Amino acid sequence: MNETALWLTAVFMGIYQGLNPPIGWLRAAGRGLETRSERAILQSTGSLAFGHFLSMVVLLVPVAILVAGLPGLVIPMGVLMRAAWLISFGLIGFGIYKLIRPHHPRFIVRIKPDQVLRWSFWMGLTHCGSAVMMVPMLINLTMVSAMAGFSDSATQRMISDATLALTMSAAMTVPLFLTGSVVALAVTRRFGIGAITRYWINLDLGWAAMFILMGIMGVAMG
Amino acid sequence: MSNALQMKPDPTFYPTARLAMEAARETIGYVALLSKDKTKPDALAVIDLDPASARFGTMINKLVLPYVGDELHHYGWSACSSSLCPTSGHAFSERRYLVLPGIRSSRIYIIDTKPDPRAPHIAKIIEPDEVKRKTGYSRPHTVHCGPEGVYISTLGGKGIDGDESPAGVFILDCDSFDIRGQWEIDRGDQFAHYDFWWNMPHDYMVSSEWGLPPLFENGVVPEALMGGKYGHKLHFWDLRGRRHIQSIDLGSNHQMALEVRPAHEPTKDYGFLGVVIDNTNLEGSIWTWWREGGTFHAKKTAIIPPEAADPALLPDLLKPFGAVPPLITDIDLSLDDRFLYVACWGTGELRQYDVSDPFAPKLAGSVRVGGIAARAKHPSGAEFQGGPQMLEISRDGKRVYFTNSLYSTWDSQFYPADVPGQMAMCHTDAAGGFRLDPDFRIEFGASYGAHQIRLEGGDCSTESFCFAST
Repeated sequence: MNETALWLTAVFMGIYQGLNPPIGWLRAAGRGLETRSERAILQSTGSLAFGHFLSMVVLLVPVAILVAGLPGLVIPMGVLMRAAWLISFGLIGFGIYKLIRPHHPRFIVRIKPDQVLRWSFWMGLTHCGSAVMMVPMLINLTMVSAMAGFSDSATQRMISDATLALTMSAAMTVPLFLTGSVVALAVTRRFGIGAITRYWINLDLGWAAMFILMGIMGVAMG
Repeated sequence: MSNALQMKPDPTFYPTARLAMEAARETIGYVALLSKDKTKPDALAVIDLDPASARFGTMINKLVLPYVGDELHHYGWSACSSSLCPTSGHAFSERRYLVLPGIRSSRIYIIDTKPDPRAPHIAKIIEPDEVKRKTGYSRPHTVHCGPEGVYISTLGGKGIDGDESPAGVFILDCDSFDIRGQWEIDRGDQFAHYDFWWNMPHDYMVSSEWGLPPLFENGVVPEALMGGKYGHKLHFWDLRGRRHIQSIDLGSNHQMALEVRPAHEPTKDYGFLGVVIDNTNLEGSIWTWWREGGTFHAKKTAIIPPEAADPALLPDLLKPFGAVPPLITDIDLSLDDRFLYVACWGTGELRQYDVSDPFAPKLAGSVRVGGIAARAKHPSGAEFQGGPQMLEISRDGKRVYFTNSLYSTWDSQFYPADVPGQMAMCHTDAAGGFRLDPDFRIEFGASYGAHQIRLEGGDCSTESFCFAST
């Protein structure tokens, strides 16, 4: 699988989540209808996307640093490959579980309705699993870059791998923000919140399938 | 429980109150029937409410329960607009199961209304022992689905009489219907319980108090009533935090603070409460509570006076007073938050208040049927025992349905001649005012009392909303 396809996948996942009402735009549209303020809408979609971004960064950056190798802790390539492979199987299993039981973890409903960023962070980290889906990809990409730049210093590798993790997170969450904002504005200005009962389909099922697909890709790459 | 994968949200998920009002009208209603002398099993009646049907306004089916002595009372849906909200975590559940508690037995029935809503069947029974063991509560009452699943309030705590520990709310999983346990993390000074509801976006719950089981199970206890021992407090809670924030004591003369009805529009930070009786003057009262500056407040905004009556017409309990108290036993608020309906079960009156200004309810209409002394006939010419009691307003606000039984032992005290179950309907006028439909009257037979009504696709006392209508 080439790298471009991988980046496109991340962008596609961002757009998909931007379209999904709870993840991308619904709270923002609700705020917009209450306040009639576009600023409030963009603040909400911004919080949703930024929470999601943080949920990816907290997992992907440490993984990238571990893969690059810390002083005194260099994980052998074979172990890394095996880990990526196991995580991929885990993704397939989690996707099947989400098909059967598509609910959010219970603790998330206890987050207060105005804590949008916190809500989005925990959703991203658990239910959405955007970060964990990208882990096998990240490991594989960093190994490719390690082979290309084998003469780099440990610090250089760490910086380039962490940058890769950040870029990967942004590649998903910037499209999420843009899509979510467009939908939230359209719903507020034109369609009304009733649109969700007409046009909204169960995107959670597709997302569960995405876990399985990413898992299969990870297994295939390993 | 079977929950097929849903590709679209349930068609009865309404994001806002206005969308709920604009949705298709109800074609079926359910009524809880209770065996008054507890010799027969209770039942759930199915009522045809489709105006195009030849059987409109009749009972078309009756699901008879397998046990005796449950005493059906209040009940609710496993999913409604509040829990089908996309941010809830179970947005693709179905409005399918009715959660039907026995207030006397503490048994809970899960009733499946699919595939045929006209022929509901029992999907699961939670036995009283399990309810008591897993929650520490007994006598389940109000059922609301919400952010964390199905919330059920209870009137009793531990012990045979249910008065050894506080009553409260517990949570039922909205898919498996497994009991998850007590809802409260910190209950403050709350001990007795009755009704509860909430404002979900503003994240608070309101609850009220009737009295612990010894004060109601064998009938009203006059000395306790005159001594101010029934509930007279409102409690406010942090909904997601599950913590008690504040209580408001209405004064011990305001006996039995029952139904709480928050405004449906989530941007409005107020609601109403009905108080059954003032033990100093027999008045019933309506209270408005509101949130301002982070704290809650409440004040009495309407009173309904007792009506003088010939003692010969009165039950022993009321003879010394020579008057009938209104006994405000239920209130219900239309989805547009404009009309509050108030059941005066004692005097046999149903009042309609215009509450456009929630601090100054204006009497907009009244119908009279039944009553302890008045004994007004239904416009069909038939006798109507009891009085307007359990109310339900259609989502569009055009119809108000009601039944006539309060609670088995209380029925026999206030209406010793018996209260065979009946259901009636009123038509409302958009500008205010309403009237009884002479052709709509359902009898459930002498042995059954009739209590709460639920309407297909939701009604004014089930739906709460995540989004503002404007």
